[in-house]
Amino acid sequence: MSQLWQMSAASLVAAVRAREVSALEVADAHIERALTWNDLGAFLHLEPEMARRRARAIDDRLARGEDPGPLTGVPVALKDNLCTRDMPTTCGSRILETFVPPYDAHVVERLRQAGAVLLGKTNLDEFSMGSSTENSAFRLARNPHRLECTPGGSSGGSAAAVAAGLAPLALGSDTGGSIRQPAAFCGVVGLKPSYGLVSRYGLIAFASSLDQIGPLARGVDDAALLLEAVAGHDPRDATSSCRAVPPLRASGSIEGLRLGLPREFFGDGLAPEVAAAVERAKSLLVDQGARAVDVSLPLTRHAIAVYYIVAPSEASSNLARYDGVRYGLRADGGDASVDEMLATTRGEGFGREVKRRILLGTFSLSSGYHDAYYGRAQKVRAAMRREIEEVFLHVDLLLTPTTPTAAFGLGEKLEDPLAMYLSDVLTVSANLCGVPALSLPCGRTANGLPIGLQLMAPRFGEETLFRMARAYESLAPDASLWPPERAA
Amino acid sequence: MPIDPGEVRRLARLARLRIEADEAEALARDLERVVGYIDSLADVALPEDADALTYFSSDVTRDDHAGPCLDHDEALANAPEHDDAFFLVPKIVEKDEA
Repeated sequence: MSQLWQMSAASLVAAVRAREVSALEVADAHIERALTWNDLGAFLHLEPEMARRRARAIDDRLARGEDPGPLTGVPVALKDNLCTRDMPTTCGSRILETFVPPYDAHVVERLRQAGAVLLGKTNLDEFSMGSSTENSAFRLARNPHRLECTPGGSSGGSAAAVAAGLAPLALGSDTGGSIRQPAAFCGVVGLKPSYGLVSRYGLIAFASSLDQIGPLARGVDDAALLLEAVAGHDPRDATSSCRAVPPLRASGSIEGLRLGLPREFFGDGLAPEVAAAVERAKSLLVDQGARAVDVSLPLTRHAIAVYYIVAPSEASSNLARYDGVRYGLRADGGDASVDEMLATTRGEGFGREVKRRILLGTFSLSSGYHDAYYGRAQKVRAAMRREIEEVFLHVDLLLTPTTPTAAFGLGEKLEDPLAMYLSDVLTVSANLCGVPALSLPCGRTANGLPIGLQLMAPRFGEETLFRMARAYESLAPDASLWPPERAA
Repeated sequence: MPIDPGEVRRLARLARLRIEADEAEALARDLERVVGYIDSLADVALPEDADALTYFSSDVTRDDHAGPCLDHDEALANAPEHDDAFFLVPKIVEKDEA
């Protein structure tokens, strides 16, 4: 039998329910693993005692003949921008360093109800602003496949934790690619669900018209299992949809499904190894009966420009709440006025990238620039959404690379914000258009770094997305990508 | 468009964000590059009457019912400074000297 930390979430649920292994043993195996891999920087707060208490409670329920739920005994790691009433929630920022929320996020409530064992909170770029987790105010995160590379970001801690077997499942959030890009860099499956599928109640807001919470896992079925546990209507998030969530783990044929290949996603800047891996993936799917169709989405060429107006504008508004009054840091100001206290608190509490984006958003929204920047971006965004909806009249899914290159090196893009922004060029369109998109591993570079394949579906088309992803996973020889082992 | 440290300081005042002098120069350089990039949107051909996208979800409304909310002590627990009932901030209104 494989080690507990190597097992899928679904097989752990089955084993714990059958009392072949206790939830406590499962929790211990993952805690030990997380301590061994501590220098990965995947966790900001690991909570071993809390996890063990929770695991014992689940074992007690099983002993009484109860069913603790669909995630019985499964350890789950949470991105540290999801509110937890019993653990710190820092968003990777000094300004929230001491914050312990008075309530749980909706997804956290759902995980507790489903019998999951929460392991702790994972590392991220401050307020999710970044593509490498290097903007975390607290710890450097590393890629388990190659320690001198970034795990991607902003959900880099969640992706690294799942990739290295510190947790079989993790939640992340995705505003412009923050689940899919780290999933691609770390060789795991990551999904940004349709806008409205998962409640954001208790997710610390970055850009509210783009933010979604989604799963990271080592396999497609595990990602579906986690999504099923957290998706569905919640009246506390006004954008949460009332649609019923379809079953996502049913397998089905891909015969006749049309895969659109948008030519703008295969252009300049795409690494030849990435292009070749995606081409191989497409051929495998076509051999199984899918049909490849060339399509064009010309407006997506402007996606990064639209994104870097819309997201910072919303962020500058959302981050106005950090005022040193109700929670978080307050700068020690002596006799300072309220205005001085506020400006000093924010100046000391926010890191460079967060300041950059607040200023950029303030610029796009400010008097005299609003129509030329924010107003225009919203118009291009509307046109982009219409364009993708029209393409989805002719194809069932889109198939693209997730990122133009495999993981880049630590420090490589840190001093060049524009280069960092451009690394999200293939992922932001799904957020701008509200459609679901999934990244799954489709091979490695010659250096052993994972490559990600992205599938996109029409809004609320998750079932088809998972069906295609599952088909690929069952065909591909290298769909599972463990990082190299290290001495304990 | 050019962005100088003075413009950064103006934006920082609007955003209630204290910026150090050396920081303003670096931020001006960064913002100028990013704004130079996003300026490309001016070239996108759009119809005169193009709609702006504001939000996606129009299928959700809710009744306005009173319900439980945060307990007073819980709401104050994270405040940097508070008394039994209120968040405390530096004095806003000066006493009339006259």
